[in-house]
Amino acid sequence: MDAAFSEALIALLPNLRRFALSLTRRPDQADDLVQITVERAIAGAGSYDPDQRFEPWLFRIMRNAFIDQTRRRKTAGTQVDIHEMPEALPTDPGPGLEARLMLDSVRVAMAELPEGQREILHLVCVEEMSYAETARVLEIPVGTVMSRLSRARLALSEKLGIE
Amino acid sequence: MQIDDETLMALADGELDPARADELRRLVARDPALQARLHRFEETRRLLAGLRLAPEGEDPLAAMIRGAVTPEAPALPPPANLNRPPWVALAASLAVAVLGLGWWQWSGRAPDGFAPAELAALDGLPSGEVRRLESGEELAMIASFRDGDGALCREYETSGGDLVRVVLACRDDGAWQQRFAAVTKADGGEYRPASGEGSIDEALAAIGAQGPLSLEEEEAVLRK
Repeated sequence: MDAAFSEALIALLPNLRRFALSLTRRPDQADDLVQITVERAIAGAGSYDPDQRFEPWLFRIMRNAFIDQTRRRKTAGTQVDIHEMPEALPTDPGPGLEARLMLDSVRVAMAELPEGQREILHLVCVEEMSYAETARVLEIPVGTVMSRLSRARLALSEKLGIE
Repeated sequence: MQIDDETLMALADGELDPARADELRRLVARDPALQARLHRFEETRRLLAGLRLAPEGEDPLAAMIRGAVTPEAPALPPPANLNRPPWVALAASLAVAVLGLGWWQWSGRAPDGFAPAELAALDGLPSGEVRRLESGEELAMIASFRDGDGALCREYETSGGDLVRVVLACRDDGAWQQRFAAVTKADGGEYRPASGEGSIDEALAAIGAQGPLSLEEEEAVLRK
């Protein structure tokens, strides 16, 4: 791994943390997932094609790690969901109260969506990936990205009461 | 003309080619129902973008990632630890639960006893090479060092199942003595674990080891 790779990886840590939290909805599991993703990215640095964008490559590693993690946790007992521990959600001192309340309701609405909708909303609308990149991360056709994403957007707008 | 949700969403997301986007915008401009449907896609995107918060301070993993950068190639001969690039140390320290000393309880060996094939490997197997032992385990020779007194020391791993044993042995009056051993368990197991966790590094520091011998130096020492 060279210095350029490591700096690019560091620059994307916030993105990895966000995606991990969106996938797991649990801060402790999100931390584990980021760590595993970083390890795998470092171990696999040689297989990264510098002509490709870095984000989709990393997100794909993270998603595969998440799938492995979920498989292993099937027997791990009761899990506390982020709904039940709202203090665990990242707080942002920036925007004013109203904006913050809106952000909170977006987070809660997101967290209530099924995993397949949550991850696709996150990749496109939060991480601003193109449909084509998202298709590569999720290993599904672009047409499937579009149909799943539009259903997820409508479900979210329903929850948020957007007319 | 019927416009489906996916097309409206692609318009909101800037995924349509400019000509098609212009054409659609003209249609939307004179149709309130279309405007309302488009609004739901624009608004969800705008609100979700708010979740893209700027982080405060540097991420705790950043320093560890920087520490794993392979240094620029030095003008020295290549060290004889070809299968331990520095990032493995990070991967191992992050991923491996150290089960600690007491490996002999697991392996059935006496504390300072080496299996015959291990002795043979210590005497002749070049670093970077792997050999199968009688037990079915694999022995990977990691590197050779000189301790503070100039004695030859070698680090190797044996692996069987999901356990990896890492050993440091030094040659003392012609006989191999074990200076360190630990068993680690791979957790997730995509890369070779266990070769670089803190304790083996501490053991190397404790014997006063300098950097690993080059393959040529090692070959000359092993021939003796």
